[in-house]
Amino acid sequence: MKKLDALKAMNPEDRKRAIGDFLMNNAMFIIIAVTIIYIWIRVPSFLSITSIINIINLTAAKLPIALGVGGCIILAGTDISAGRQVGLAACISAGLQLTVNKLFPGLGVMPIPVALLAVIVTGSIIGLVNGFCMAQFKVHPFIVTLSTQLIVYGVILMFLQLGTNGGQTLSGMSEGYRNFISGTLFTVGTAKVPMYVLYSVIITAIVWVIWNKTAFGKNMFAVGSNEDAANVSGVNVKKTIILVFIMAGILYAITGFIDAARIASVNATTGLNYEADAIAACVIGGISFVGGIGKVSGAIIGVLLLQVIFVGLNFLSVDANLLYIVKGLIILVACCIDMRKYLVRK
Amino acid sequence: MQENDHSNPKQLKGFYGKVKVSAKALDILIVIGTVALFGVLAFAMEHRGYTISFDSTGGTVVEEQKKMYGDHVDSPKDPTREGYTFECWSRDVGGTNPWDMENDTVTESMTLYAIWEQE
Repeated sequence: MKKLDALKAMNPEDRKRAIGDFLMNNAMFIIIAVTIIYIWIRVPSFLSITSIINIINLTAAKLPIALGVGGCIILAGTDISAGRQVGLAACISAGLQLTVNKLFPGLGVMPIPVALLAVIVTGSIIGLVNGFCMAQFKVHPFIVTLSTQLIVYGVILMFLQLGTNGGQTLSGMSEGYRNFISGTLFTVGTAKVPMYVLYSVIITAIVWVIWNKTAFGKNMFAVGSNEDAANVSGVNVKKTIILVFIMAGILYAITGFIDAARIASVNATTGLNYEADAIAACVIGGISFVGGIGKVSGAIIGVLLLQVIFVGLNFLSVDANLLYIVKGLIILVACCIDMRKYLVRK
Repeated sequence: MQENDHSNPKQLKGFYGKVKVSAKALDILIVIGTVALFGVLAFAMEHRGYTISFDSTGGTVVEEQKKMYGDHVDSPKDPTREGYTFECWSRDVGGTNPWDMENDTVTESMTLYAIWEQE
């Protein structure tokens, strides 16, 4: 109400500018709201309980990778190796828990903790490499993570060629693994909420604590905001950068671990371009490329809104190829809004 | 939301680095982007529908079908192949992901591969 009163008190020119600013700053939310309402009118079942639960499940599955990339963006960087890292983790998770294993002939189903540990170690190593190259040699994050992305893809391809598999899709994972990830947590009517939603909530809570309640989290925001000032005030900048990318690598690994069982089918294209969705979600949610700005709630909102749109477009039988154009435009508009918000801030 | 200050625009930093752009230029870009988005969505609405292609992997040709989200696939006439009997349609070439004509519904454009049993 105070804002409305202030609006009325302004002279016409300032008022026009204030309204203009409001429209520009919230353009993305306006676009999304209009699209959702339109989809709901065309296909009312889009907002049925089953559909909403499905959207929540998908949001939970895609949240850890967004939080990982979010940390990198807060550091005023990026991480385009995220998608392939998820793919590699999915391949390893699946490859160790197949009922009929063509990758490692004769290997029985490995225990779930072993597979989880394997992917976390892999993710940490890749994160370490990313972070170290950036921290030590000051290579631009785009270059480092582009190289990592391609190398990880090569590793995925070679991994799938192991044994007698010959590059084929991995499916037929152990029941224990599939139940651990996709077993029913609880049901709402006929809609099922799977276990991985719980894991996602726990992971999000842990990341929130790290970002907001630890010295490391504070350092992450400080380095992202102004690296030189952070250095002068005693923050170990190199260590912070490396740890952020290791944290991201672990989050991607967990995403892949969950996705392998969730989709129940893993091949070389698993994880392809996941980082585009994650980055778009972060920018929409207010995690800014200028660095040092962002909230966990922003990532959640960004992922949720994108999922609502894409599930809705799926319902409308929109050609999936067009979604790439939509995603690209969303990233472009979201970044323009982000830049504008920062440029005219007091 | 922080107050907007148009009189003293800051220089962009962080990942945006050396980008030099005015708030007005961004306004124009945002509007163009929004219009483009709605344009693409309108175009998408005109060209709705998923295509189900059938790859007989060496057998006789099976026509593709145009379906919407939630539809069942119309079970086509089984293709024939010299020296093989037709088993089923699968989502992948290896036959590890069979398509259940009765229960599975369309959620995206896809290719179904014929799985053969050697006679």
